[in-house]
Amino acid sequence: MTAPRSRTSVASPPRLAALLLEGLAGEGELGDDVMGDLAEEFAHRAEHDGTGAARRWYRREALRSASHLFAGRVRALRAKDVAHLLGVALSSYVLAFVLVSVTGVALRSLLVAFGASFPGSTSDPSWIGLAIMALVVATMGGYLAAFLEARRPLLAALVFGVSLATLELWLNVGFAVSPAWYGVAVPPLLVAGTIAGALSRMAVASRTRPPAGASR
Amino acid sequence: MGSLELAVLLAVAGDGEAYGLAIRREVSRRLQHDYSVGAVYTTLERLERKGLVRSRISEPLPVRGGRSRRLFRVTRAGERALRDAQRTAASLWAGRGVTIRPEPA
Repeated sequence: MTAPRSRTSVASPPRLAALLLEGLAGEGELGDDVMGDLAEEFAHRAEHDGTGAARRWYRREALRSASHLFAGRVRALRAKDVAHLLGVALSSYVLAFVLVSVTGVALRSLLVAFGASFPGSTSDPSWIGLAIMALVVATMGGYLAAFLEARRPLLAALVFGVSLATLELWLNVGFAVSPAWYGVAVPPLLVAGTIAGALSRMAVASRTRPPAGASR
Repeated sequence: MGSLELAVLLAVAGDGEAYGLAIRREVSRRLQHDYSVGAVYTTLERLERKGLVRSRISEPLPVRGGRSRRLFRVTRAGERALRDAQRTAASLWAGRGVTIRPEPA
């Protein structure tokens, strides 16, 4: 059960840490329980130890809890959930790819203006330009995955990000056309991009969420 | 049952009805280890799936940002599991005459 969220308290938990936990715990009982306990302990610590100490505690606690919540979410997955998440990842990829292609001309012009070039356009391909493009697709895809799977936004984005990074790794190792730094740096960058995209989506969703929440 | 599961079950049994934050404080005090909120809740979820605890939702509270507390209570099966654990520990130690030296400071 959720009542109107209190908007009067002066001290509030760190937003990014709260979003990370909310994304990992997902909607439902576990998410509300964990977030509720942390909010309660945060208020207690802010009153006794000061807001700074309470915010530091909250960040540390969010990081410590993240792995347990993530493992719990993964353990609870069934075959149909995995199929659904892979479907979300594929849809996000297609949508992100279409969006990037549509805006590609503008982006290309911008990159060329900064001196970058593209493989095929010159004899010296700009792998930095390609890495930026891949990061844009990953961030956009992470946002879309979190949008399409509002119940488990971060998990959906991670499935998308890891799939994309694996594909990138396979292409780089299998065909060895890119420089070594590209093969090493881009896959983790893609995962980071999808997480950033998902957190952006969750920040937007939490801002537009009505204060009187739905029941649990 | 693992040591964290046992400690959580004992903390719930000790209070009659308890919620996550109180359980975490009690378990951390008893085991002298600062367990994370995530660790305690995933353990409580596991205990509930095994039918050793059950829960109900309280009224929403402003101090929790408008969220409710989930109050846990030990079931009959949970009480049986606690008795079994106590009996097992007692029978393992009984008549052993083992002296454990204290940990060096």
